[in-house]
Amino acid sequence: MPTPALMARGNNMGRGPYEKSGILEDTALHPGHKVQERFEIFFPVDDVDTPDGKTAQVAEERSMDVTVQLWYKPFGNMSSAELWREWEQTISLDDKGKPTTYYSGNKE
Amino acid sequence: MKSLKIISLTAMVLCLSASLAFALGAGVGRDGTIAAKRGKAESLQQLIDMYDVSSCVGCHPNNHEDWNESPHARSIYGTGRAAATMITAMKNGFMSWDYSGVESTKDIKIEHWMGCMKCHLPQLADATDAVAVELADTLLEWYDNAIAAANNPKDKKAVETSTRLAETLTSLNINCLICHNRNAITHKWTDGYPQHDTVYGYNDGDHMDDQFSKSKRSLIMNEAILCGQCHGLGPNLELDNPTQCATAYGSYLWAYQAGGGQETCQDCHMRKSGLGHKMVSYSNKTMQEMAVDFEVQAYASQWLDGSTLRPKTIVNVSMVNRAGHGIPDG
Repeated sequence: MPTPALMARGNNMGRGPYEKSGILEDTALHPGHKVQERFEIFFPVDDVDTPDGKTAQVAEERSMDVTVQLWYKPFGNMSSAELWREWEQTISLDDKGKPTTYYSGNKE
Repeated sequence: MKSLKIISLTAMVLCLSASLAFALGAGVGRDGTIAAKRGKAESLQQLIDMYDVSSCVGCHPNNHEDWNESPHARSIYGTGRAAATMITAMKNGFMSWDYSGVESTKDIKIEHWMGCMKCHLPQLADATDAVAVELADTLLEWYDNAIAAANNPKDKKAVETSTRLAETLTSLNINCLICHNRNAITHKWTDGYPQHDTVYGYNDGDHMDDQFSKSKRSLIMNEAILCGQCHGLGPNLELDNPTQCATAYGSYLWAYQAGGGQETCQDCHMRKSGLGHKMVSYSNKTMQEMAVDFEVQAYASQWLDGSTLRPKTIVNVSMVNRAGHGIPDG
């Protein structure tokens, strides 16, 4: 959302309408513009002993439930916030997992 | 002697006319507006009465019902939060500034309030400075009693006073007569001043109302500029101390229309959404659906960090704002 400038000077943000003049930056979604966000969520891993006597890090938990929510926060926090969209899916390491040369916990 | 009297009388009438014209400002037909015909309101109640819309309800019940659900119906009170913000604007704003001339509420004039009320209550411009003081005192009295009532719900006086004053503050709003009369014409030297006996919409003709007996087409009733009068270009530089609240209309002009957008505010917020005079926005499911394309793609990947496997989920979120302005605005 727009970060309003305090009294149209410097780089301080003004919050009350009586002190806001101008915009320092604007993180809003702008009309017609595609915005893409990428998130990487690592699986928790544990050290395991491998058959060849080494140690490897392997995800014991093979799937995770991912929830993506789009919130509209009129005051920049959860006060009066509205949940606009919610997307849920279970992502499994084993859906396309194949045996590897590295000990991975993938199914044979 | 007689001719001298006539000349004196003529001169006096000319002087009076000149002073009246000065008070009203330039423009033909300005003396036919609601404010000019009734004179400036000298109390909040007079201001409420000046823009009373109770006669609209009988013939337009659905529009009234829709409007009553809209933020326009409580433009300075809101849920109480807006009214509290008005007090903050007063205390942290013009009451704290060195050159505003305001040390206590009795010093407040209409122009001090217009930083907020230009949009939250534009008809306040049609009131005397005494009303500016009354508004400040009413807000403060409401707030003190609302706090007292919240702390002690058995405090009957606080409950009664805060309820009564909340009703007064809620009665000061953006109603039928603001959009369909007072603010229905932006280009007054081109299209004329909104007249005291006329409602402005899409048709010319008679209007079945004793007070507002004429109906006239407003050339901006379906144009974004009607809403843009209040929904913000950025700093209100016409004020001696500029304020800034909404910036949606600026975004509409310089981002949406500049990119080829053709819809108006009314197209989306009233017609396509089917919301009519409710004109709600971010809290409404229909508007939420219309506003944004939202896609998510997620998959697993086992990244090899050196010789260490680092399994992860990658989530790609794609959003396109389909509204005619930035989201969020503010």
